[in-house]
Amino acid sequence: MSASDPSTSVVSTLPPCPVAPDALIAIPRQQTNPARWQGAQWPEFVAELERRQIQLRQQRFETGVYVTDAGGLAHGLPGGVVVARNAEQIAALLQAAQQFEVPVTVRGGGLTTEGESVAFGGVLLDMTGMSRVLNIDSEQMTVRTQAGIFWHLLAEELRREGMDYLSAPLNLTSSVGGTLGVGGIDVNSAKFGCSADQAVSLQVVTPTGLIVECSDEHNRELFERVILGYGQFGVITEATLKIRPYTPLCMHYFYYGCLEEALEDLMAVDRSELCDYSGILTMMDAAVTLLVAFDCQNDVPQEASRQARFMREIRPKLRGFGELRFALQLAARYAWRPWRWKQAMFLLKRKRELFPDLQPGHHMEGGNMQDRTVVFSRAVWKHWGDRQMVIPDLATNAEKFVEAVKRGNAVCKKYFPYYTLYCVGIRLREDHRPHYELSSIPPDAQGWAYGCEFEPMFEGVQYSRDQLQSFKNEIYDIGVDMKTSYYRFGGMMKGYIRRALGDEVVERHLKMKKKADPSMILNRDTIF
Amino acid sequence: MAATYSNCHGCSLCLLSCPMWLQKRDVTFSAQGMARALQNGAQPQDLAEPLLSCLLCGICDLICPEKIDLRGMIENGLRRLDPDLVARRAAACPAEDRFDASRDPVLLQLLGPDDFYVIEPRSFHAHHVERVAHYEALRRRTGCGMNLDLHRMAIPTGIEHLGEGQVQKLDVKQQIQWLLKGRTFARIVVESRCDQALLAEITGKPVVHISELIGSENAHA
Repeated sequence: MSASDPSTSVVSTLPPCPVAPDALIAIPRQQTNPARWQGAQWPEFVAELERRQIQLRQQRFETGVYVTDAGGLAHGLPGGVVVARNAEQIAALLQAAQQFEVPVTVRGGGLTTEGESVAFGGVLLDMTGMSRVLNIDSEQMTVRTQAGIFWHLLAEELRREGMDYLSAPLNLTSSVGGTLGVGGIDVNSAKFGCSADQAVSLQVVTPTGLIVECSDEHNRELFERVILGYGQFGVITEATLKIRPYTPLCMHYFYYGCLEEALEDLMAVDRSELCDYSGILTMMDAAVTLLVAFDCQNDVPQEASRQARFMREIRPKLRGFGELRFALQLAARYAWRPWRWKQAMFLLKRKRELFPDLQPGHHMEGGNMQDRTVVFSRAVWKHWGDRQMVIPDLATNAEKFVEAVKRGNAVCKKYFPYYTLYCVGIRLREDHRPHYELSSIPPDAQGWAYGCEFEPMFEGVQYSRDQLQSFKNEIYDIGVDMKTSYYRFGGMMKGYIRRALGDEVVERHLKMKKKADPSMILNRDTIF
Repeated sequence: MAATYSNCHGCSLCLLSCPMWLQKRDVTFSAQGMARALQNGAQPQDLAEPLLSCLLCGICDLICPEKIDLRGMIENGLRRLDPDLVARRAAACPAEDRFDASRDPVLLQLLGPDDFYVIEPRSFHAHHVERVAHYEALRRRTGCGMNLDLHRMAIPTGIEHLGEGQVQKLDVKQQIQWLLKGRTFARIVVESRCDQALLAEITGKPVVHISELIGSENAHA
């Protein structure tokens, strides 16, 4: 049976989707919930919240704050907003929501791109109200924090103690809880794994309103489902995370004119296990940058440092150039192709704008970067952020990675003159394999998984929703064809989940979801 | 055309260094929350609490990727609540621009790792691009602590908000606790005289104004 051929599917018990069956042309899908929630029992629910002394904000100027997410393509209004304050309040909210079958959409930083954190009616639970650091344990090297905290704010608090988190998305306003629910990729994920893998234990409010502590040792099943669980099995209210001493960063950039060579070198760098940070960032496929970086090692002699070993053993094998040689190579390439000078000018402009922001003077000391969280994230917002963000991606095993990126790159070229690819490796934890089920981690990945984001740069051009959706579909079709996974497969793209990962695993998780969330209220419509 | 509150698309960056958001942890108490509320028909009276909590420190203007005049938006809202409030606040504790004093070479000898240096945030943020490198260098060369966050924005004490007759909505003691959290120091050096007395009272440490520090050294010379 092929997951991509629903006509032969015999596993699913669901009827065909009755909601806009042609919403995504040629993509058959199945809808768990037979229809959108239409406001049934809302007045009774509101009265119950009042009785439980839970403040619900219902005025338009209060709900309108949450009208869309970072993607800026999905728009919806909640009926009311609850700002999270403690686990007991959330437990009471979910109990009432189960009783009156009112959907609850949980939002952290709101950095979803497919509408996963947009509420279409019901309650929006704003977790940023629970964003305090509770305890930093410098002996155990852990931090206990409320889960609505932005990673940036966590870094700010940890830095006061000379500490840092292990890995987090390159985005200042991602929340810890939201990240643990979907994965979280950093340029050091090839070393430390995804952010979700640094969680030691969690406090979770289940969809029926129980407050439960879980970890690899306690309530393991819940831990497995909540980590990378896309918010389906509980609201993460507190998290204990691993931390490490803060160190500045020593950066190296290698430049490639060939995408395939850069991808192969990225994987070789990761396999060497000699560097602390690695990733690829491109301007189309014309200028491909391999970033390699190291935590400063002040406690070992220079020649024995990981950086020195890398330069001795790995650097000579890399096919990338330094900045000057690459610039000369590019100049020679464009000199004979006047029809591509517009692209050359774009590259030059982009370099002039971007490079200073990747090493701002007030964040550099002795050639090393201080506070990478701020430098990278501000650069990401400034140079890649937009009012609308479309970032389809593919997550593959190492063997499929080069082909998947090359095919995705061809799709980017077809749709947009300017775009960026961002590629990183993700170290996998064998003992966390159950966490990875029905997630962005492809089931066939061993050792490392690899992800590539394909992001168009609009450069002031307005593209229609249809064009953007077609672009996303074409990237995701590659994933179906190559049997990969995706980072952003919920919300508007959920039609792909069954096609890519198959009915069997989706049905199994749906069964667990129905058991945990009988009224299907929590982040309804996001995955199932 | 200059960007206005209608250009806010809710990226949340302005929350990160915003003193009132850091204290309240409620998006309503942020420039973004107010901009989005205005987009959805809020009147200044609806936003009285956040408007009156704002320190007008100017951090949000610097961090906004849309370059919206957020401070102007908040001042407009305050004027509609109370036409004289903004002027009264400015008069109660004028922004002391001590940038020139901070560049006095003698300061490199006078500051050390036991000092915590409090930059006056309003004038600093108004000239952030030109000044941030200087203060960062001063911090590194002397080893003193500074009221800079990871963005290299100056964390305000909030004391300038305590002028006589002003409506006070932000807990200044809590703000100072956040400012000093995890910092060790024996002396505080301030650029703003408004900060001097209360910082000394709360911390129990000597608090000197930069002009006194430099002045005493010059007198010695």
